[in-house]
Formats: sequence, structure tokens, C-alpha cells
Amino acid sequence: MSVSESGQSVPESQPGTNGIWTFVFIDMIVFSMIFIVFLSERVRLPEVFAAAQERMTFAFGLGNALVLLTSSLFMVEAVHAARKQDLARVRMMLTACLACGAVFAVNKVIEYNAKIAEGLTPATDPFYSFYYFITGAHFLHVLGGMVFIVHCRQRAALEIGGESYRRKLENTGLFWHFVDLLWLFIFPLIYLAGIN
Amino acid sequence: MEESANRAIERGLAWCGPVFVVGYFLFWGILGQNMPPPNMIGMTPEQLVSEYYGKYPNLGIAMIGSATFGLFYTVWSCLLASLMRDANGNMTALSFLELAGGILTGWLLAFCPAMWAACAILVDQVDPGMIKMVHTFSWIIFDCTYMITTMQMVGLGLWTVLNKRQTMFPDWAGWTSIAIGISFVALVIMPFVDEGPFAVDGLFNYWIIFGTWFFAFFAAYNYFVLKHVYRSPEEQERAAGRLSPA
Repeated sequence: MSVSESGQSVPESQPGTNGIWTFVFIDMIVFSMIFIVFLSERVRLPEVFAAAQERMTFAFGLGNALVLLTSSLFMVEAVHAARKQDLARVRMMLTACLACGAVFAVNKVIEYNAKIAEGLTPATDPFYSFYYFITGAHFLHVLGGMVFIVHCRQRAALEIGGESYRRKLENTGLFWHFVDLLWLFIFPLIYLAGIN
Repeated sequence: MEESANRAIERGLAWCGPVFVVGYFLFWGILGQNMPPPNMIGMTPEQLVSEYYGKYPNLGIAMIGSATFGLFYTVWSCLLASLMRDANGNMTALSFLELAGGILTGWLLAFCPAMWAACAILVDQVDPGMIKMVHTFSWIIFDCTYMITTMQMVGLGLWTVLNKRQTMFPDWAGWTSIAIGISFVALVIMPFVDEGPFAVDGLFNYWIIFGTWFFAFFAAYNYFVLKHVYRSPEEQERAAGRLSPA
């Protein structure tokens, strides 16, 4: 058992601190509630949901899934590099991660603009209320994750080699992987279910 | 002030939490027919009057009672801020966020019922369109100024998870507070939909948001506050992080 600089006792084999695992668990419960309500509404209004989902652009969903999966790979490499104290590689991998995040963000903005241009807003019908809420909440998580990644990248030169930096990067990585995992649930729920 | 008097006051203020819950549930929830509330966005003014204000004669009493008990929330929030201040030695930005959010939320819990009381009392004298306008206006204030409660919950939650020396509140309560506070953002959809889970009486925007706020945030912190104020002075110091663990 090791003790992080914040005073938390953490098993040596456990990536990240107890705090991030607690946060991810709580966040997962919140999103689970949202998904359950979405599914119950889908059962209540099958025609509304089916008609709306036929208008969803599969390419956006798939593209974003691939982008986030790739970014998770870069994050794994960044954590490995931090353990080896390879500063250049840490910064390169975190930059690649940020680039993927930026691609996701641009995709999202383009998709939202397209929907709004078609007159499809959160008030259109229950499906679109969920679409904007679920993907919007996820988008905020992506933006938050990018802020943490920027911080880790900025601090790498000063802090790499320290236990605290490794824990911080692992925490950021865990959060980023969670954000990726969320999208792997959102993608089939929102984009795939309407495909015949 | 003598220590014994201070402790008695803290315990009294801590019980304002349960008093708020019981009073508000009875007056606003039960007597005020808000389990769930009428979906005014999907109703005509005449329907709102006939199916709500005109149908339940005790709504005026219910809302005046709610306005009274609503401010017990502010009293409880003030105690919470003082516990945070005592742990830190001074008021920090996060404790100010909690305090400001608690004061404003308490005001809202009283102000909006006061508006609904006016609707109930004047229902026979005012045009149904005006009744619906005031009723809807109050609900938009009640729901769409959610940020005042979000900032209380995020402020308190961040203080809980970042203040590693304190053991008054566990980390999971802090993270839960942050997550639920942020989930309130779904309330922005409420004014624009007349049915479904994001409507004013919807499964998400009413039952889940209010339910999680109550059970996972308020009940949890209420329990830990009550537990704390009944500790001995030395145990309180230790829980606040001002003494080393035993």
C-alpha cells in the first residue's frame, strides 16, 4: 500500500486514487439513470423514437467512437511513458490525445449545427430532448477531460518522475477512458438503434 | 458566547434540516398537490384553473406553509457554512459558494410558493391566462435558476473531496453532491416541452432530479451534520481536521 501526497492510501497495483474511482462510479450511476429513462421513453413512444433515429447521421457517431478509442490508446501510451519518465513521449501522446478531443468537439459542433439547421431542437420531441441532453452532458465531460489533459501536459516538465504526477496522470487517464466508455454506450443507443 | 450555548445552537440549527424536509413535504408535496405538479406547459389556462387551483381549496394554505418551511433550508445551509469555516479557520471561496447557494435556494423555496399562494387566493378574481402566466413564471424561476443549488452542491462537494484532513463528510458524499448538482442542467429543457421525462412533472426533471437531490444529497449531508454536532468537542476537532486522528 502506498500513500499519495494527498494522504490517500492506495494499493500499489491500483491505477489512480480512490477519489477518481468514486467519482467515476457516481457518474456512471447518474448516466445509468439517464439511459434507463431513455429506454423507458423508447418503449413508451416507439414510433417517435424510430422516426427520429432514422434521421441520425451514423457517420458522426461512428467517427466519434473511432476518434475517442484512438485517443484512449494515446492516453495509455502517455501513462506508460510517464512511468518511464519519458518526457518527450508523454507530451507527444498527450498532444495527440488533445487533437483527438478537438476532432470530437468539432464533429459535435458540426452535428449540432446541422440538426438545428433542420429545425431539430431539444423541444422537437422526447428523442431529441434526450439526444441533446445525453450527448451534451457527454460533450461537457470531454471538454473537462481536455482541460485536465492540458494541465497534465503543462506540468509534465516540472513534475514528471514524481509519484504525485504519475497519480495525477493516471486519474486523468481513468476519467478519459470513462468518457470513451460512455460514448460506446451512447453510440448504439442513439445512432445504431434506428438502423434497419 | 459560552461553548455549551454554541453547541446547543448548532444542534438546533442541525435539526432545521429535518424540520424543512417534513414541513415542505407535507405542505408543498402533499397539501400542495405537487406529487407530481400539474404540467402547466401542456395545459390551457382554463385547465390549470379547473384541474388545479379551482379543484384544491387548500392550495393557498399549502403554499403559505411551504413559504414558511422553505427558509429552514437557509438556516441549515448557514450551519453547514459555519462547520466548513470552523474546519478551515476562515471562510473560503467554496464555503462562500455553499452559503450563497443555500441562502438563494432557501429564498426560492419560499418565494415561488408565495407566488403560487397568490394564484390560489386570487383564482376567482383573475383571468385564467394571468393565473397560468404567474404559475408558469414561478415554475421557470423554481426550476431554471437551478444554478443557485448547483453552486451550493458543487461548492460543498469540492470542499468535501479536496479537504483531505476533514472526516465530517465522506468523499462519496462530495462526489455525489457534485454529480447531482451538475445533472440539474437538464432543467433548462423544462419550459420548452409539454410532455415526456423533461417536462415539469417528468420522470427525469421532477422525480429523478428532486429525488436524487433529496435522498443522495440532502439526506446524506443532513445525517452527517447531525452526527457531527452531537460529537464531543474533541471528536469534532478531530473530524474537522484540526487535531490529528486518535
